[in-house]
Amino acid sequence: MPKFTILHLYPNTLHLNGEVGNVVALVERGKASGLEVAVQSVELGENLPTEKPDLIFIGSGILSAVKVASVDLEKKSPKLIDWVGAGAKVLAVGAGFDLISKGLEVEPGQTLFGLGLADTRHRITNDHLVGEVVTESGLAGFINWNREIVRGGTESILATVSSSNEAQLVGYQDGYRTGNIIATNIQGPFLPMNPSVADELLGISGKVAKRNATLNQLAEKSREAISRRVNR
Amino acid sequence: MIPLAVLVGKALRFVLRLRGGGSAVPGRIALAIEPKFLQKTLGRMQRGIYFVSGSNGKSTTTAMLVKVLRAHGLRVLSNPAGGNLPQGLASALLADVSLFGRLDHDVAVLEVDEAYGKLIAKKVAPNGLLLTNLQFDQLNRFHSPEEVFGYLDELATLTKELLVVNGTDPNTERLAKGHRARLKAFGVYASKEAVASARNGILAAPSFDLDESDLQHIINLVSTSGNRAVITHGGAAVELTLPAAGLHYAVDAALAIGMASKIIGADFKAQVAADAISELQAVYGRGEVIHHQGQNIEIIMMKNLPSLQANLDALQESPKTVWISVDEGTPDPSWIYDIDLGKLRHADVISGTKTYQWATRLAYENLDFGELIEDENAALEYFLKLPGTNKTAVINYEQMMWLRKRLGLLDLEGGNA
Repeated sequence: MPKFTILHLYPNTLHLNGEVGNVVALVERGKASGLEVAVQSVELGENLPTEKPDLIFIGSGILSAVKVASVDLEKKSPKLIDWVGAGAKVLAVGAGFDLISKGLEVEPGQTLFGLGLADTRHRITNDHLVGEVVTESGLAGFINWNREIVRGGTESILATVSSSNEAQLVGYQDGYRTGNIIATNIQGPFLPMNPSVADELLGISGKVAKRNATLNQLAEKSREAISRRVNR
Repeated sequence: MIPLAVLVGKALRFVLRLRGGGSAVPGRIALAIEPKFLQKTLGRMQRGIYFVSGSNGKSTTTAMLVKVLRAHGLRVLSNPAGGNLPQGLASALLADVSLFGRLDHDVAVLEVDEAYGKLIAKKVAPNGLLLTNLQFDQLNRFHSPEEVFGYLDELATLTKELLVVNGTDPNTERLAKGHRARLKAFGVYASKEAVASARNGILAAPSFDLDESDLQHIINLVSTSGNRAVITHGGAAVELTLPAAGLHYAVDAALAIGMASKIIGADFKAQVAADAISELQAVYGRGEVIHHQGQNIEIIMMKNLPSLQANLDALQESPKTVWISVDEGTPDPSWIYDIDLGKLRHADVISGTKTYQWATRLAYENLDFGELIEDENAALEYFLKLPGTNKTAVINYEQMMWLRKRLGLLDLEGGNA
């Protein structure tokens, strides 16, 4: 049975909005498609595994949690950056996006370390955007986010919000996508709500196992419900 | 201006109540006529004003504190939940206040919203503040527990004398340490054994504080099992019956007793307090059972992650007939993936605008999700027709209020507290 290994960084420190649901989706969908999926969790101060994982997941958290994670991540950064260079995929959600960026400015003069995997610089703003969204590419979910993001290039955007119950979110450019890296601020959680992205990360797009078909239907209905609400 | 404010306010209140329902309008008018309305009424309370705030357990803890103080012979004024804003509170006061602003009470105990509490505190500063906990709650509104920490910290800054907190919660404990130079600050602590009685513990938001010193203990929760709890006060242990099973109720009770002991002082009797709490009914939606046409419907409230988790952890066995219903009162239910479903092993019917998000969650866990009926009226009809008399409803706050109304239980929350 082909193997798929997931490295879940700081699950007990970085969890804010059910991000673990993304890992659940990867595990369950992978298993249904005949993959042998294993998850290894690494907490603050713990050692990274010796072997390169297939995917690195990093979730969101409260600011004090992001600060301690950032310090720990800096120590782990050479190995993580090497792995991604050698093809390990990355999914970063919420504050996890901050931690794979080129840094998060929490206040003038204080910037937290980021892995620099995404060509973006982040800054915390007082303008909190909160609402349900549907994107031009058909992704859906909930955004609750207060960052200004300066990008190296526009080709790195994951999705553009086409409708939302929050007017300021319409046109919002979400997340990051390049090569083997995906970052987003869409919750739902992101992968259970948008399972096609999970299948892409797992490399199982196109062959839909029976159980995954049921999960896809439920996700589609969830997205439809959001779409009805934001287009009301 | 007090007599005019009271007169106009009372008249408006009378007229509006004839038309049905309460309203904040009389309070708003009274405050417009006399901006110091709250100071000139509540501010005269002989034994002071006390606030209860925190993420969860406010209503239960307030009800318990009121009951314990009354059992000690004090005349206590309290606010119905929802009277969290100055105008709502002023409206509630109009029922009891004399033309000259006199209230026939010794002490006021007010449940205040984490964010709005300061609006009341700036008008009439509390003598004491009781903080139940700081947990993940309403992230769409508060964004992060850290933002709520700031609100509660500001409330403590506006408090005059006394601060009692849940010492087992690392954030409320840390908050109290920051004020102990100016305020008398005390902690109510739960033993390791008590915390271990719930599958997921006390469910506090994370804190990365390294100061491990304790506050001065006033009450310790020694143990809890089912709806029984043992606490110690001044070295003596008392046992009490909780309004419903669960560690969270035991912590609420210990907090209420701790606060009462400081308000009452030398005349406080732990046994009187324990007996008073043992007589208390569940604040509804929290461990409450609704009786309807021969069926018993136990409510499991899904107000936020910690409240749902605490209620699930308190389940003694797997519920047989389950209805889940969640609407836009929970704008982003992503956090249901952080929930340990524990004894909840299936659903018979799911309804509300978030039907499919809940069904997806159960499907990923390989659990049956039953019928999916977005319309809650149709779902309720289906649920009531299912065989059996003992049923369970996992619902959010807004669905609970809807359900109560739908089943003809018309009293508003806190009306009987």
